[in-house]
Amino acid sequence: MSIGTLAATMETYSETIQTEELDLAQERELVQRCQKGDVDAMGTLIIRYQHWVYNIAYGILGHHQDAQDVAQDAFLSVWENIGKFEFRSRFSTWLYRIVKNKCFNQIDQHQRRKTDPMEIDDSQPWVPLDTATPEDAALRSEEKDIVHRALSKLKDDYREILVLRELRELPYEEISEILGCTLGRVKSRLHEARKALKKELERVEW
Amino acid sequence: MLAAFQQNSNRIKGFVHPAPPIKDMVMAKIHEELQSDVSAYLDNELAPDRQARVEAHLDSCNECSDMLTAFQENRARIKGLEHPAPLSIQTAVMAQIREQAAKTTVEEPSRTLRFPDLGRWIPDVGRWFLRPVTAGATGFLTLVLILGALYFYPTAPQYEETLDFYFGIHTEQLTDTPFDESLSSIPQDDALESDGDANLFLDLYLENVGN
Repeated sequence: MSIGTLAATMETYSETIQTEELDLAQERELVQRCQKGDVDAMGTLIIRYQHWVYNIAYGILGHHQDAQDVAQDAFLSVWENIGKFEFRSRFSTWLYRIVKNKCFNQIDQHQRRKTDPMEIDDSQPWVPLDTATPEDAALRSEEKDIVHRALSKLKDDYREILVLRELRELPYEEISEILGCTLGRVKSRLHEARKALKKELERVEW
Repeated sequence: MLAAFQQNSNRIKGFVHPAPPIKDMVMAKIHEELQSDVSAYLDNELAPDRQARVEAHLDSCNECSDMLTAFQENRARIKGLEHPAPLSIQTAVMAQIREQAAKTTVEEPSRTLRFPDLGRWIPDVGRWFLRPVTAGATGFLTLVLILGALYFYPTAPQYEETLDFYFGIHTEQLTDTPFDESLSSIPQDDALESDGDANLFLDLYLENVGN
């Protein structure tokens, strides 16, 4: 590698780090403003994270309306509990945990609502929440449906890590922080999850 | 003797066992180990030397290269699930937050007039005391304070009257005359008596041991 290339690489790397630091600093400032009751700062946080939150919820729940409800509920929880956030972790990590809890609560509620034992499939930890509304049917193609069905058959841990990595493209380090496990555990769990999804999708004829 | 040697040689040869497929076993182990890194290879999360080893293995192993292709395809499929967040999320949440903030602003003056931020402060203190370490430390400090008080306070002059009163009540139980003037002479008599006992003891000691 020539010195010129190396210098260019270092410059790009330095710019990337600075941008990331700037983002984190801005984020911290926004959170602090929210803690003081600044509604506009909360609006900025929502704009910044709504796509992220909505797609995580959608990836876990597999239903647009439920994902929307969970996203709204999660942001309201953030507003109500922002005073408790002490910057011990990234804001996104804290937010993800709120979203995850809301999603799994939603799944529990749906499962409890099903009183007919014939409707409950105990072999699946996750019951698809789709009830095939006309809007959803229009929004979702057949392939998306198949991928959702395959995801629904995976264990919660596998579905969660696939959503974080494949859908949100988070680095291993951030995933380990979110899930509260080591980098090695992230690596092995992600590999197992991908193998499990591959197995599920191989059963389907494309 | 020669016959015996030949016999023993044949016996030793009988121990020879066809070697297990060690090479295959080792290669299978290496394959398994490298395959477990295919996922991290896809994510570019391996150290450079490990990345190079997995890459070399992928060139020669169809099973692992097929796995990598499948992982790449599935990644694209999951990515295809991404959907823009509806604008109604922001609108609905902000409407509720503004409503809550408006209510808080109306209630704010009466609440914070005399005790600013008290409502926010009290739950924090409560939570702080509920933590096991804090609760334990508080208990320990309380115990130390009580023991310290018991150790130091009886000698403090301001509590002597209290102690006198306490012993007076006990004396009352014994004598029914707690505040009798005659009781004040008891310590002096006791002191004299104890001096006499000491002298008597010293005399007896000198008589028996001193000689």
